[in-house]
Amino acid sequence: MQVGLSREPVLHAAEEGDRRRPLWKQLEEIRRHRLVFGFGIVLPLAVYLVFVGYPISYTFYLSFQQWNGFSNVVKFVGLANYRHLINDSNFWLSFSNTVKWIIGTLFFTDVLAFILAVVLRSKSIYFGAVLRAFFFLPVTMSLIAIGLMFSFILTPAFGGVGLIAQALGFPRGPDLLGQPATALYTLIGVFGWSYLGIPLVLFDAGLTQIPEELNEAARLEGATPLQQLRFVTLPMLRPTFVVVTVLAVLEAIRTFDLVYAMTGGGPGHSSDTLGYYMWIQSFDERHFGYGAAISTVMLLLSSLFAMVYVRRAGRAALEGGG
Amino acid sequence: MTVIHRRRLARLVATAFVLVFAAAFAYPALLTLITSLKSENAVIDTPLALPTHVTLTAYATTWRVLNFGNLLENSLFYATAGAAIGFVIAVYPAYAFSRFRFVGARAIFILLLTTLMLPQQTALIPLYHALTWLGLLNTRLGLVIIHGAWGMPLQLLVLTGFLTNQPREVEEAARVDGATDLQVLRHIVLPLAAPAMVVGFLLNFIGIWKEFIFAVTFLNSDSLYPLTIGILKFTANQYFASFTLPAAAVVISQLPLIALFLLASRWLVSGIYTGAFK
Amino acid sequence: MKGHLAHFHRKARPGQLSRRELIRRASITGLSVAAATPSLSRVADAATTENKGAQASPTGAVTISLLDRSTSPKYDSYAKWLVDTFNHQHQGSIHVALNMIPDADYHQKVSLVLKGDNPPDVFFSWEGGWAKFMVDSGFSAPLDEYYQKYQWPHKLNAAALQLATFGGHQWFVPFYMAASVVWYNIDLFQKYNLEVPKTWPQLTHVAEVLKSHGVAPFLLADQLQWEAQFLWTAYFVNKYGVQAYEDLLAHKIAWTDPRVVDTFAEMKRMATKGWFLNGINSMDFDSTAIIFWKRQQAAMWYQGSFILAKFLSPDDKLLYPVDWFPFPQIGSMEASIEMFAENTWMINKKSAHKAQAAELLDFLISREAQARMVDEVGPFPANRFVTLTSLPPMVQRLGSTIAEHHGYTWMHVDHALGPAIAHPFLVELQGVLAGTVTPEAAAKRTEEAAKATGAGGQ
Repeated sequence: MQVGLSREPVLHAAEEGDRRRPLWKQLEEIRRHRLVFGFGIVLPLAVYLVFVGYPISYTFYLSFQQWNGFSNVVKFVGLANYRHLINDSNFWLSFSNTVKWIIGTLFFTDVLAFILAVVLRSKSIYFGAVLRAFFFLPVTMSLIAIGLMFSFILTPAFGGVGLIAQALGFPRGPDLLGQPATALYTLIGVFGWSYLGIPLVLFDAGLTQIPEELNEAARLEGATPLQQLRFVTLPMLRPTFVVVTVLAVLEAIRTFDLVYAMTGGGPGHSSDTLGYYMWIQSFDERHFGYGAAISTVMLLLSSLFAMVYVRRAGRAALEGGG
Repeated sequence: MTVIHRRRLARLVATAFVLVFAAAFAYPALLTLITSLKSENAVIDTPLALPTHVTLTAYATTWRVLNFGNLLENSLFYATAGAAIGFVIAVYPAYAFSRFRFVGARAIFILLLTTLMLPQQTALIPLYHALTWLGLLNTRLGLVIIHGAWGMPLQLLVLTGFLTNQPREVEEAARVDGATDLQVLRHIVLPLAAPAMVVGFLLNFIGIWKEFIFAVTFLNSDSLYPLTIGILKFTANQYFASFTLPAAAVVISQLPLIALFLLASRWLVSGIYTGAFK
Repeated sequence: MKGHLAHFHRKARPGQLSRRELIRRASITGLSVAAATPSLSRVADAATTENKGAQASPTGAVTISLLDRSTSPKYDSYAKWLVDTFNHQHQGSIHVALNMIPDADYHQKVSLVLKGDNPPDVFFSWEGGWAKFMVDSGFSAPLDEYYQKYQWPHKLNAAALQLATFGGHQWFVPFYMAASVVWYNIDLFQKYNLEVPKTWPQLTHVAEVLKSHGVAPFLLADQLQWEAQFLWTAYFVNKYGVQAYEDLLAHKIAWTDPRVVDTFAEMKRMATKGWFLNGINSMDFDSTAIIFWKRQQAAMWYQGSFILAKFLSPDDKLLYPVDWFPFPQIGSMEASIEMFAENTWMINKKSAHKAQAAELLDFLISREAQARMVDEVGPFPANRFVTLTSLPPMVQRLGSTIAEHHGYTWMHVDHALGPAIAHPFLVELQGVLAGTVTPEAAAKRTEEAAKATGAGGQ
């Protein structure tokens, strides 16, 4: 039923993963769908260039300078900042802390949130919607508010953890935030707690998209709930997993607010993360060039992750399921 | 016990289990509420216990002293307009990336995602310059545009993920019928992607609502400040001694987000079905 | 074929808006909001913008802009009062436009604003190392001529005047002074028959007695890293003398000097001996610490007098049985009380209206304004003629000590030095208290920062 426009099988080509169509054909496509490409590519790119591209290039430029933020003198120092970075033990500590942060966060997002989303949507409990709101509550709190509350709760003498310990017979609870060995993990726990609602909501929305018929069919074929999970739910949710993971990792790499609000990187440097360390170097100790170098490293790290991960797992997202 | 009764019992037990877990989970968030309803002395004496006497003086004082009405208005405006702009800029690329293959698609996608990789702090100085140059420093519009630009990749990511998972039959049929891209987008793709749109908007909204670094850097006037800046005077302050006032301030700030979440949940629950194209 | 589209266009469910309709309405609303924003925001801003002197300033009046640091609601209302009163008094000739930045972000934002298009004429600055930073960066105008013209040396107490003077010039006007002393719980001292210690051995004795009764000698809330330095500095100065401290700040002595290491070590000793209430690094000065103070779980607290904001009720009555004594003498060195300025205002070197700005500063430290400040915000004023009779006697005692002192003494590390050295110092000190950093390593790391920056902090 060809009516007017020729039916170049754009969508079919997409599904077959055929990207090697000759360039002129692609341009032809672009011309035909120019509204989409105009708003879809040109507009966001323009916005991006001004508000993101410019800061990124500025940061990159600054990483080769020495500047205290106030003076008009910006001194070019070549690779000195990067050399300092390599020899800076505090930087590497922040780096390894950030890696731990990423892993910890992924547990909350890719495991805990997923399980919760499935349980809350399943038929096996009542009041799923209300309970979902409970789990979402921490997301609505600003990081400063969270810092305030956990200051109460984590105090060894009368905090919640302390009270439990006292009930068990200990004189007081563990000093979770004040001990170098536990400070970072406590922060990761708090972060996971505050962030969980977001992947929960994403998984939840994804679950509503799964056609009931698929589950029906599986059940009729004798699949157990666990098998349903494995063969119906998980594959259909793969794009959501990609989205959740990307968001979580990127958020974890640049995490700053919680460290700022709760420990200031302490005790000592034990809970420093890359995002926080960068802030301190730039805006506190006034080494803007060095801070910019750290930012550049963070950017490289994130882009590396995005390219590798989105390339492999993202295939599922960009090339579609269904 | 009949089978039905046993199932119901199992459900109740499971619900109770999850309920306890959920209550424990939400407790730190609820602690703010509890603190705001106590008197100062009660907080110092029993920080974690439920209030024996409920009092609303903290709310009255907070609202008055911080000029809360103005703060709320500002936050509402920034979050709504910012997320709206983010959505408008994100919806077309999401459609393009999920439906078309073209050279450089993945590269551009990742490029746009780099916004999520850049720590906000790094961008403060260059963005300050950019806004000054545009004459938008200390204006509502300036802040909203920046929020929109920075919120776009989040919505883009969420939307793209959902759109690529959608079956294409209806679209193809529509195209065969001669529908243009715009029509397909408006009438078929977007409606089916409603959950993703709602979620994307919601997440962007919340992000802007809780955000304070951009707000404090690009705004100078008290009257333009959103909640997060306005309540700084109360929260975490060495020159100030109160527990209930910061708690009340935080609770009032949270309420709109909770309301929004509940609204969005009902939207998601009220019949997003996927059997439209049988 | 039409069937497909028509099939989809059917209403979703009876009584419910079709998905399409809902989307359409939502997007129209959203887009109209977005479209209306420019006009709306311009209108709103025109009506509300306070800076750039855009307000209704009377014709002929010179407008100067003031950038202040917002700390608490009490301070904010005081600042507003100050500006409003000044504007009223100078109607027609000078108009001040006030802008405030929250304390937490002042550091970061002030550099942007000072280097921006419309830098303020008058702005808040910290003293000491930060002030020197401002001066060296060319933001601060010397105020010698105004000090002479308005006779500020006569009005300000000696400590304030000395603080404002370095390199032979005056660079700012301090207006909110503080002193660091040991605040102690009278009831606990009475209960255990303790006398106020004047020497270090006496203090040690007091600490041992308290410990034996299960009360922590000192409260130390170092979660935010800045609190412990007060104790560190007091110990160093009272043991090794002010001159040694001055030399250290000027980097004539290295931070790896044995005296510095000993002070770090003493902090560690105090921690391991149990002199501090448990949980030093997780105790937050801003909020949780006061709970322990109220529960009398610690008897002493060494801090600056801004802590009075936590000890006094809104109508200036003491909330706890508190008094103070100066940090004790250690060895043969004469003990001294730290005195410093919490708030100062500078005039921008690039300001075109310095004379008018000076008028504002003169009002700032006038008796009227300073009395009001003590009333609304708290002690202590820099103007030595302001009486403190509305405050509890023990506060007045400290006030007169400051006012009558023959000059400035010393200030704690992160006021004395710029952040490039001060911040590493603070972090290392916290590490020492947490047991992860040895005193030697802490000293070494601070020395590295000092060497990289040069004397006086950057």
